[in-house]
Amino acid sequence: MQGQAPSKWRQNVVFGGMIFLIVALGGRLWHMRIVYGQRAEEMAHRQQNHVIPIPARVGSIYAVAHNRPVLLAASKQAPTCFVDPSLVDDYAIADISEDIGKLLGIHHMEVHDAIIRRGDKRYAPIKKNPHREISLNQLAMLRALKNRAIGIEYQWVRGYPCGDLAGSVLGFRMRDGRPGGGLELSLDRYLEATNGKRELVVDAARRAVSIVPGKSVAPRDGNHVYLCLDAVIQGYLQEALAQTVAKHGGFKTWATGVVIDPNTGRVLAMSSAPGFDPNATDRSGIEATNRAVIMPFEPGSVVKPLFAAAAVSEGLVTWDTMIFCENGCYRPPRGGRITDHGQSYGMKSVTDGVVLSINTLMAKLGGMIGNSGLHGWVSKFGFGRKTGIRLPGEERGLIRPLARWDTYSTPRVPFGQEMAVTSLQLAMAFGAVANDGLLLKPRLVESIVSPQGKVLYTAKTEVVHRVFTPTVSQQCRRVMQQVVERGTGKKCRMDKWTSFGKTGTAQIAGPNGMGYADGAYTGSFVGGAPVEKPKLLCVISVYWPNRSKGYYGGTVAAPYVKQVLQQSLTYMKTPPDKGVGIASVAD
Amino acid sequence: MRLCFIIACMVAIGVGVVHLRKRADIAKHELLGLNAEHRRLRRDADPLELELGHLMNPKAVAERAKAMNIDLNAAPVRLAGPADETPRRNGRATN
Repeated sequence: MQGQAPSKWRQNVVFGGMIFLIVALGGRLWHMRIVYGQRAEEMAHRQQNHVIPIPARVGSIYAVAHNRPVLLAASKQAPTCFVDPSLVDDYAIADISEDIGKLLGIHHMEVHDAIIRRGDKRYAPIKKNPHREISLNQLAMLRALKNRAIGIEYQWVRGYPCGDLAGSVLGFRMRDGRPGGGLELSLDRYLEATNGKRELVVDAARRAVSIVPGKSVAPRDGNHVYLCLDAVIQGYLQEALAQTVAKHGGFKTWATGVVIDPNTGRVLAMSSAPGFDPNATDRSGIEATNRAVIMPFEPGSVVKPLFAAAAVSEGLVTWDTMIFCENGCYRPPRGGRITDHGQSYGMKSVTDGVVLSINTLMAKLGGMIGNSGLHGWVSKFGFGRKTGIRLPGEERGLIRPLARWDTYSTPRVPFGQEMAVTSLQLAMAFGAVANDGLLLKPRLVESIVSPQGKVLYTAKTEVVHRVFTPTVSQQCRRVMQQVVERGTGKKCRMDKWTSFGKTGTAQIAGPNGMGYADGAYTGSFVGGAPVEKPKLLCVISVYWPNRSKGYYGGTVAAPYVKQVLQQSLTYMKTPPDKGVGIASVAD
Repeated sequence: MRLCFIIACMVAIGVGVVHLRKRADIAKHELLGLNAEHRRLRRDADPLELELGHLMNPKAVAERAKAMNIDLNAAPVRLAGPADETPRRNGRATN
């Protein structure tokens, strides 16, 4: 029997089927590579690779005390707790809430609500405090529960171990790590850290198989900043400010203080009261701002020695030149009326004009210098422009342009009216008196050091310009010493050290900018010690003290400047330069 | 015979490569472990640094000194008697 040839249609079916198969496979291949390819690759990458973030630490900030660094701000990774609601059966929510609540010391219903609220998510944070931080003991106990639904994660938390010490200078960091003010903000480009990562190839059980070459990024920790601030002197200043506000304060009172080393421009302490603790969660108040650099005020008589020294520098007078004080009431040409607040002075020397704080005498000196000269001197003292300290929001103060100064300005500027300055500007201007005539740039940052210990920046003393000759500066200090010995600043007289200073009691401008508010004053005192080679200069200003509790600079500020200077000089082991106590040192 | 030698050499090279790969993998895992340990240690050390900062806060130190009746600004206590004598070298005090 002859074999039958396969039917044509069967061949066609098989051939057609193969063609269809090839086309289908090609289509699928096209779909997988072209249409779905990128997603598939991403999925494969996700499944096969695992990225481990390597957190980097924001730099720390240090002050100094007893020549050793004192930690002011540092970051740590704090453990926090969360629950994965998808791993908790409905009937077990109450139990897990009870367990967590008991361990963390919070009400179990709070935990229950947190889990229920995020029931459709895989992450329900449990809030114990604003930072959600839990202690190491609580962490160990949570782990001992061995519940898969309870997770632990670490979050960066910025800590300020010295509490409110230099709080307004330091500023703070918000919960997300961003800087919120102060040095934290102005130095962020040095402090900030860059997180790293390591990419791994993992198996199906997510175990590491190998490290993906070239995909790892090393973390870069932030640099550490070492400040000039002396934590001990800062503590003395804050204590003094708190005391004066408590004793003389009223409803609107605040106080600022600055202590500098006049020879280097180092800011050793800077604060304002009421104080501010950067660890606090509510940082919205005005307390969080550094009033010593952002709040200009009319300085009043405290600037008299500067303008008297200016007149001496110009050769218009000497310290012994006698000037008639118009018996306490002077009417300069088209300049209104200047009084000495009830005092009646006749012929007085320029020295007495400063020591007894005579307005009429200073007004006459203003007339001799003239508006143009006065404006030049104001600028020389550094008023009306920023000092250049690395703090955000620094105010330049208020000095009107020369064109807007009139015949009223001439007699008033020399006793501190028609201008507004910050405490720091005042301190730096008197620094020129203390350091034999140089206006220095203030500095807060002493050095910046990398995490590996490499010094990236070291501060140097920067001279802005010369203000007075050394002779005039020394003479001015001796005149200011008399203010303390026999003048308005007697409350700053110390037993062991000679000191110099000047009081100031200025009226506060009225609410509409016209005239002065009734019964509102700023009491200030600037003082330094020892007189021959000043090591410290301190300015304290008390804004709007309670009038019934004293408001003169000699009352609300001078005793506290004395307290700060005395404590600080003792701490710095400065040898006494007055008779009392010298013998004991020799012993 | 020569072929056997070549094959043996190739096998040895193969075994060596596998061994080296294995050692490299072990080293990589050890490195990962050390990295994880480093992170854990830093996590433990950072809070300790802050705790130390709390303890060294001058205010806290002053309070503790006050409680213990110690004057921080006082000169070091001098002991009377032979115990106070500092050892001398070349006729100069070493202190």
